[in-house]
Amino acid sequence: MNNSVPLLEVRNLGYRLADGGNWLLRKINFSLDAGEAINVIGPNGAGKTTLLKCLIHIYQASEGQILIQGRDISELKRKELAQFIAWVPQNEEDSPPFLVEEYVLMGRYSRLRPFHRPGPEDIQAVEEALETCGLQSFRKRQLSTLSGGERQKAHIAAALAQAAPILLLDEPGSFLDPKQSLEMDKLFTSLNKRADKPAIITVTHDLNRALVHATSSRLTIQNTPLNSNSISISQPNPKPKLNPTRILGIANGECQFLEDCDEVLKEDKLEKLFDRQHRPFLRAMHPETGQLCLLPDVHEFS
Amino acid sequence: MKREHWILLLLVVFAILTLFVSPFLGMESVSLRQVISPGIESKIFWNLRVPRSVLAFLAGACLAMGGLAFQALFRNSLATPYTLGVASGASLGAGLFVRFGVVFSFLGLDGLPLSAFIGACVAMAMVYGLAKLASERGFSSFTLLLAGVAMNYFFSSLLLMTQYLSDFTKSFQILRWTMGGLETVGYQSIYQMLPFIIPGMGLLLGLSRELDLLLHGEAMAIARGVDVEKVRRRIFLGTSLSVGGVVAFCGPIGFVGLMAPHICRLMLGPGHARLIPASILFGASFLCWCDTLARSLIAPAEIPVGVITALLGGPFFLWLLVKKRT
Repeated sequence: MNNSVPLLEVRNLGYRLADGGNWLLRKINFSLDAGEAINVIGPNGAGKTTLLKCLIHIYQASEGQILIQGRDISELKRKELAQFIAWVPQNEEDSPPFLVEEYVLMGRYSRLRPFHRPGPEDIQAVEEALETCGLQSFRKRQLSTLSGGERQKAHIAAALAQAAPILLLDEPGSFLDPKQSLEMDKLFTSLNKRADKPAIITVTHDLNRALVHATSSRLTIQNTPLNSNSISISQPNPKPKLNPTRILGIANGECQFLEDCDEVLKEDKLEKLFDRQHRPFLRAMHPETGQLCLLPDVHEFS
Repeated sequence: MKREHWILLLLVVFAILTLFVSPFLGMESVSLRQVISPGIESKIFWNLRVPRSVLAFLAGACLAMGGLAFQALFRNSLATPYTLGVASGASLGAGLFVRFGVVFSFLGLDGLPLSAFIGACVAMAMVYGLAKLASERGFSSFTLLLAGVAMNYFFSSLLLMTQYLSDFTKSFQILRWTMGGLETVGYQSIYQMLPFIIPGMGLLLGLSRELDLLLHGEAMAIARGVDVEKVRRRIFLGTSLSVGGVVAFCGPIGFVGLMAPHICRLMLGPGHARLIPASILFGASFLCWCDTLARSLIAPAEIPVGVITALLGGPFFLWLLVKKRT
């Protein structure tokens, strides 16, 4: 494989429902190499989910191209595409009552030969996916009886079993209680440590999770009076970077920025993205890690 | 052996028993000795009873398979070819033929089944158009069901008008056709039906993995690598041929396609690798017994088999509807 060809390349992607209709997505450009990660943030209705649906070709691009290893996805068969990209949709409430292990095996569809039983490599992929997601004890449970977090893990396990080099996650942490949310974080951390980790595109509303790979930035912090006293207490302990994560900001269907976490936290990029110039986000340094993070808006309630 | 395998085995045994036992039952039961020795009983058995059981068996299998495929495609156990307007389309085709038709035959097929088949296919094409629209615009399956109900009304009113404009004999002929029936003499209609139902069932049988994934929604099926558009076309073509073929020769027999897959689902769970054989076997046996009832209950007269299945199916449909809401 030629190294200069990126795993995924999006060129001037645009999508609208009909000719002459409003553009739901426009002028999106980025490329993604093996093992890289992009977090997509932006206001509601900005086109984040639409972007993911274009990438798995549920929506057909109205303009521009999406290339996987240099091949346009509209030229790929569905099964071929599924071998490259796996998708975890937003957590859905209604699931048919399949067993967890049956459901995870369905992730292998694109690799199963028609009219043949699943082979040893399929069984192995299912076992590994169940283990990665910590679902071994749930394997005989029905999908419809799982809690939100467990079901979300089952969706992720099925996508992992698909063994695609690109993984799309649509709001993986939403609707989860703090405990389940923590388990979800652990899952992604362990996924990131794997040698064969997939390239991941995550759509999320949780800005602190999206920006979790920001390194500490003393200079910015010292400018904010709120945190001037906390600096002396904390011992900044920047984590080694797990992977180079970039942030793609989308508003009104258009790319606003594509930069790494530190850049995004600078100046008023986030405020512009979410149209909050009148009320800037409060930034603070995390007492344990020294990373910059956003504080909740408490003053609105008082 | 797992529980599911036992149930499947039981269904196989039940189906074989049904096929062998049902021809002996009826207005007058026939004994094994009478069947082998030449005589009127033997003639009745081989020329009336056996072909009728075989016809019921095949029809039940096709109706159940068509229902199962539609239920998965639309993610709704109330969506079957019958509830979406195929029966009324076929009835209109048959009605128009009885009222206006010149007697004709094409490739050895009579005009009546051919007209009914065309009617069924027209209805199917309309449902296909609606289904495509629904998936593009994101309609729910309930919208589609309501569209099916509207189509049923439309075809039914056209049929009523046709009936109203016909003379008494023709009007009764149309009415009788719409009740469905498996009366057959000899094996001719079975032979005529086979060219429709064999390719039709062939198209539907190998789809178990695709149907499993469709239960999780079209988007999910696409993301896992299913060519949903292709599968949808295959389901509609296969169902048009098999269910359309059955309706053309046996009239609209309702609710088998609704009940058989659902009862099997309650026993075996949602996986189609097991549901497909189970529904086919159950549907076949079920229709065979309904027909046996139809010709024995008020013997020597017969109740149209469509009446029996609808009598059982109506309450079942309601039960499904109520259960789903709670």
